[in-house]
Amino acid sequence: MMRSRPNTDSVDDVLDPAIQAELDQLDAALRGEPIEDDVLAAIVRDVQATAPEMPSDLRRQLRHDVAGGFAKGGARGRASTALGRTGRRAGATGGSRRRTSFAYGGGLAVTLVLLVGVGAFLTTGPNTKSLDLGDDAAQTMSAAPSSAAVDQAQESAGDVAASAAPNGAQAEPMSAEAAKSAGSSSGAVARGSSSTPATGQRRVEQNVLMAVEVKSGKLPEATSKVEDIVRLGGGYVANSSVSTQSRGAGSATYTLKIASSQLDRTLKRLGDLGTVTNQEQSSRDITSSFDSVEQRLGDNKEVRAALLRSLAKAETDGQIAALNRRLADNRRTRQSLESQLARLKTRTNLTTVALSLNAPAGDAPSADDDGNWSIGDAASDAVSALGTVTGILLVGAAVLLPFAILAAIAWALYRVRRKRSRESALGD
Amino acid sequence: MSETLSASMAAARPPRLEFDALYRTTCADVYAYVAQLVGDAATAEDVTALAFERAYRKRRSYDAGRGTPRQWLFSIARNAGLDELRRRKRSATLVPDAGERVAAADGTEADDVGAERTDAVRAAIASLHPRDRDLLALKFYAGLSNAEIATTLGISESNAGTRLHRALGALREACS
Repeated sequence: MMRSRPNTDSVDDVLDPAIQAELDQLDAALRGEPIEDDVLAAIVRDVQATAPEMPSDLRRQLRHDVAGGFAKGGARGRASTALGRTGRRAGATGGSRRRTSFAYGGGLAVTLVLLVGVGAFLTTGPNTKSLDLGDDAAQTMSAAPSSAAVDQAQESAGDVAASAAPNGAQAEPMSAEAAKSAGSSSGAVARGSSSTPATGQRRVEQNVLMAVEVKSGKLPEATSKVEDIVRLGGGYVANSSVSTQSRGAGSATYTLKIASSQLDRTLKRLGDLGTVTNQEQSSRDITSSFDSVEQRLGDNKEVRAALLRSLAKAETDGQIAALNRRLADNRRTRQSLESQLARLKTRTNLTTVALSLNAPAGDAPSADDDGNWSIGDAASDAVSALGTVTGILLVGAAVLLPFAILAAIAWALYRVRRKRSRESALGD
Repeated sequence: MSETLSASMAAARPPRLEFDALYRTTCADVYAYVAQLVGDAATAEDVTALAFERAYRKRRSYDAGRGTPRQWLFSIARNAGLDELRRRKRSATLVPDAGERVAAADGTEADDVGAERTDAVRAAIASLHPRDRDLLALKFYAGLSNAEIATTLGISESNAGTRLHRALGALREACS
């Protein structure tokens, strides 16, 4: 029978009609239907006749295994024993073991990647976590500098007092020298010194440490009010630092100078900004330092008057020059004493207030939280939790995405390689 | 109302693989196909058992949208058979004994003429290229359609048809 040669090179979507016709006949013959191509029909018949028949013991064994759900050591183990082909079986099942190992290994690798990702996520932490830490740190920071400010203020008072002492020590010999040089006027100096009475008014330097917790999100409002309150209190802001964070959290630290006469009223206004969580007030009596400087200044003035009188009586150029030098020294000493006195007055007239404001994050209970549960609280908590979970998932996805892409590429390459390797088993 | 709902839910649910029924309708064909693929009866038994066990363990991952259960099962059997052939290539080649070679069932050779004819066809099939043997086995023993063969081999349906045509031509020549 002459057969036309179809186009077998084409692998397009549409088969050559001749090929399609032959395949249709093949399908019909396989279904047992009569076909025109007798040769093909005979081939189909013969090939089907050569079909290997399944051994009955294998059929029984498999039926049993299927019914038993291929229990552990099932088909393969039992078949190996029954058929006595353990060695060959090892080859046939080795791949399965390898695949199982591969699956376990892959699962282990994925688990490790997940653990690394979660660990990295927890280590770096989401924004919310760092914010919480930030709050604690902010509280610590707000307290620490404030205490330090008080100490610093106290130390500075000591420094001034100490600095006043050398000046005083310098002033003392000077006054003695002036008295000596003034001759009879020294008595007047001594009298003047003893006659300069202490005012009897106590000079007290005050330092205040104050911590106020404001409501979440209210920190900007509170900081703007602080400046107004200080202005009303006749003082000024010597130093400030404001730090705002997400979810309404933040902190601010101030070093304020408040008129001592307005201190109580100002502290009350500052406390009204929120809840006063800590307030410490310290005072230091600097009356002795104050009086000492005032007295030395009085002596200085008397010495100056004596020097001026001596200068008026001086007859020689040498006397005049010597008195002028002493007057210049006297002027410098007076200026220093006046400066010290001004600083001491400032320290007594203005109180140093180390103020710290702290606003907790939105989900943290504030100090003035009434503690009662409400629908609003629950909704707020739910939204906050949702945001946190979303953040965690996003960060986790970002961390795991590169690993997932690499794993997908590796898996795709593995599949392609395995497919090629399998197909190569058929030979080319 | 609830019956309607449960019925619609059942319709929406993916069809469950009836493994026992699949086994009963395919076990003989799987063995015949695998025996043709690997070339000896003993290995064919092992690979057949392994293929069914793999299929059973992976039965929940069967996706009806990617092929019929029969095609899915024969893909597993083919992979198991190819793995075995590959392993043979790597290790010392296992040459099946003459007594172990795949043979048709006893009693099918009713007469000498028939036996000669069967031997001739068997020899003709054995002379084919392994790829052609695989393709013909998928068609004659596994009973897969051209589309199912294409899915199993990971090629287009027209490509599968063309290859099948070539294999059939080679078998015609070998039988002539």
